[in-house]
Amino acid sequence: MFDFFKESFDYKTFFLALILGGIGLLAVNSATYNSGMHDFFYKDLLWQSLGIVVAFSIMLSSNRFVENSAYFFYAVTILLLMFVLVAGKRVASHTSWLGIFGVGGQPSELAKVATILTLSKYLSDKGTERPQWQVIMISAGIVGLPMLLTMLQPDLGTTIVYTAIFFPILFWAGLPPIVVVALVAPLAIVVAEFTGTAVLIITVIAFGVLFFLLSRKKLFAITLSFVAVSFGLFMEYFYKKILAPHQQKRIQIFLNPNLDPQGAGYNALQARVAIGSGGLFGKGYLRGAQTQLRFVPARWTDFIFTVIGEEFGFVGAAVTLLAFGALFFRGIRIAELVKTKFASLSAIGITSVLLFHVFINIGMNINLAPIVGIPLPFISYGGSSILADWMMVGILLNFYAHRKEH
Amino acid sequence: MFESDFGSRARSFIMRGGILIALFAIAAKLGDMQLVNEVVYGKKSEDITTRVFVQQPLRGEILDRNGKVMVENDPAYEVSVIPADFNGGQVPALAALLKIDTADIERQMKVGETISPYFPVRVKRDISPAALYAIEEHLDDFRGVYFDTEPKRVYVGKARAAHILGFTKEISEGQLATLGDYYKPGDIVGYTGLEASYETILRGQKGYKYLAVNAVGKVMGPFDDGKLDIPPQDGSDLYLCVDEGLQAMAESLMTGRRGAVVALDPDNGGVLAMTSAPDFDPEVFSGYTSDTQWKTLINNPDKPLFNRSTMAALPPGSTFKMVLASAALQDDVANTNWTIDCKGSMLYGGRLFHCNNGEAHGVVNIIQGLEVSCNIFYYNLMLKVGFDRWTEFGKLFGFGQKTGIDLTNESAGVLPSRAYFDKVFGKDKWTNGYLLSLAIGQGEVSATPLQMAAYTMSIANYGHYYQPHLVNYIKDVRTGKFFYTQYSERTIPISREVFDKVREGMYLVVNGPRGTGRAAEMPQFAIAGKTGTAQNPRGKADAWFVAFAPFEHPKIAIAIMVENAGYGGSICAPMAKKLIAYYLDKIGIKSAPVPEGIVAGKYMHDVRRSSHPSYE
Repeated sequence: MFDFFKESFDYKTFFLALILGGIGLLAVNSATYNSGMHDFFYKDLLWQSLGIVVAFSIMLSSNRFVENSAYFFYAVTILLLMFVLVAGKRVASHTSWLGIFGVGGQPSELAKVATILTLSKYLSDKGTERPQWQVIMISAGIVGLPMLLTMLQPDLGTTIVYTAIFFPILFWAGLPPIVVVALVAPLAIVVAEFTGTAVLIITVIAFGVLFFLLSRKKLFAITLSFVAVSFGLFMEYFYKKILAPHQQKRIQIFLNPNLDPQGAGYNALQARVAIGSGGLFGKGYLRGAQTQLRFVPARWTDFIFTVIGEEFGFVGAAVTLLAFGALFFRGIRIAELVKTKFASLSAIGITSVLLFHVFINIGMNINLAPIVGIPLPFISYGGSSILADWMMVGILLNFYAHRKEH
Repeated sequence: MFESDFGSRARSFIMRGGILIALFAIAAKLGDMQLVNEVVYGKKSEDITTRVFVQQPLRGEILDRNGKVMVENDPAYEVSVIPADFNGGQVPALAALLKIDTADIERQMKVGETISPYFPVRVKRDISPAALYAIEEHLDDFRGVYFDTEPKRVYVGKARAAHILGFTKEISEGQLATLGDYYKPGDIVGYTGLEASYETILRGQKGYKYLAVNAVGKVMGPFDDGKLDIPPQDGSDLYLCVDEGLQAMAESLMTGRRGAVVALDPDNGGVLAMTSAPDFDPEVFSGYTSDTQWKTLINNPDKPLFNRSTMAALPPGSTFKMVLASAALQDDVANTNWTIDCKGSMLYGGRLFHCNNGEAHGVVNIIQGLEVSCNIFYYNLMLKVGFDRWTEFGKLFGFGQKTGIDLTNESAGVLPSRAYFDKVFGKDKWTNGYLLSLAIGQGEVSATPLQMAAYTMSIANYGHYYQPHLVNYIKDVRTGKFFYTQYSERTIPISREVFDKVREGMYLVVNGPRGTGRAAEMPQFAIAGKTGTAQNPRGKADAWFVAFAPFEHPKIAIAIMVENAGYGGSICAPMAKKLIAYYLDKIGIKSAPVPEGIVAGKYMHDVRRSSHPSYE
């Protein structure tokens, strides 16, 4: 046992996750302290502990356990996602909560993990000795199925998380740069469209230039550029004509939260005031006027970062960011250390999904990203998401423990 | 395939770069907010916090065709409580003053607290002046209690026009889910009538006011000099086609009855008056509606909330005969020479069919058939015209379809057809005997008073049919500009000669020696009409009368229906006379007799004792 902890236990990953979970407990405690929701703190404690147990169980599993169970895990979560669509309870306008024996759960959180593992397994198997376009199509299918089912709930936030699985894993797998750029282009054009027509035009031109720089075949570059322009035009039409008003509104409010001063704009404004007023050292624990006075809504889930920002200030926020950053670098390091391609790809997927969550969640607290409602890993209150975060840590720990094996 | 570059050094570098860029972007933004602009945000957070107050726009007014106001707004007082400031021990005292349940206040405060204990929670709207003064006197005891004014609908003028105007009320949970993002709990929305159908035009747009509030919840003034404020936009005014005086008269004539009056302007289809009796006082709904008031209205067996003029589809009786007459004349299956000798009853399909009251009308042609309302004639005419053509012509006059009036609820009525009978009774399970009832507007056929008025209007207009409508134009109160609302119109493909004969029959109903609607006769105005008395299985017959006047250039077309009242000629015709006389006088027509040679026997001389049909 002692040997195991000396040789095979990745202290860095574990303790970074533990620090983040601890920050989460502090924040949830503060967010719910004065509002009669304080049992959320104890529930959070319970979920974090359960998460650690799950992480250790995965870590102590055999070398190929994670890899061998990937497809099965994927199948189960897909079935759960389908079941949710049929029988799920509606929570806050989408149907992702699944009641199992009275315990609420979001299968979409688990589906993310399953999709990372399945895509990695597919790409690492020998069966991928196929033409490049076929591999890309099958990969898109693996990611697209749970993505579609999540979209139908509809849960916009979790849906876009899947892009953070697809692109980084394919990139790590060695996809040629021109293909990566061509695949990223549509997504970037979508984002550009939401930002404004001028940004859209610049983005489309930039991709055209990139295509010509990265491709030796001029005809190919011209074709890609033409597709990019057409897609840009389509997006303009899609955004203005097809998108539901409440979806458009969310995007517009991201650009200008004042448009909805009572709703999402109010949340965004209050979150910014809370964080901004934290200053360098913050107002002190449990002393954040904004969060304690409950001006910030959903402050133990989507807006939990306001508690950190207001009560611990820039220093507290920076510590949190550093812990996340170190964890992400550790994820990349593990991807380099391990001997199997599966483990390497999975480690990249886990890292990028966590990074994406952090960027979008904190981003929406500080007006850098739209308010799409995805949790801050380890910190936001929520059983399924905490469990999924610790599962991912467990998988990293397992990879590290078996890093020298093939 | 792309094995060679898997996990390469360059790719690892790019990955790490991506992480750093993302985290630095966050750190930079945080630094900007927390270090550079901390003072700004700190001010917002510590000294003052912002609170958003919704500014309700003034709902548009509704005016009649002459610019007479029918609905306007008055201020009403509402009481709000800020849970954090309010001493819970005072709840019973406040409840007693406002005459509401303690539990009611507590429940609302609890709901409000889940948003923020610093948000005002409305406890009661439209409080009485007595309660207002009482609370103001004890304002020291009631810390955290606030007053606010909000507009309340006030109905002015003699006419109630309850079913035209409709009422407004606090939004229901169901409406919140369906009406969209604009609405928030507590908002007032149009429930029925024009208030509902023109809701988005009348309501205007909410405004938002940002107020700076200090730590104890005291309002310090506008936040950021009101730069973020969005002023409310008042709703637009509706100018109706309705004549308030005529409407009031129709309402008073219908007092104590169950039925409806609809009067249309034949020049454009505008509704001059539309009433459904019994009606209700829309003022009951503005401001605070007590449960007892609501239950009284809901449980009244006469259904005062039900708009009979557009919703009550009933057999229209003999007023429907012009459909058959038009069909027969247009298809030329019968002309004015074709006569029936009415002996008061006829045997058809082994069943004895009676003329109205078993009266024997003697030899009548199609025009006299209308004048005396001879059922025997029209039974026989139906068998000549046939079911399909009858249905076709009913459709031309707009039966079995909604008129498209600018109200939210309207019944289409039933215009039976072969297919409809096959569906209802089963194929081959019905006989031609069923048709005889349809010939005289009874049995399966049904129409709303509005449809009957539109049908009368199109006969008056020689087939020109205008979509009935209430709103003439909309006035944007900010720009002062008028917008005329667009309505459809069409021409019914029936020849002028046919209408001449049908109109002559209707003229004789009121003015002929044997007319059934003589109670509407007036020396100074030539009125044309048609009576109807439709059997009602529940009690006395429903009385109908449709009419238009003046005969030559009609200015009003009217349909009156009174449930379980008896004869249309004796119940409804006198009412039509009064309404027509009032309206024509009001628009400056002092006399309009029938010019020589227009009717009065133009087609009557064709009547000869010719061959008797074989059906007798």
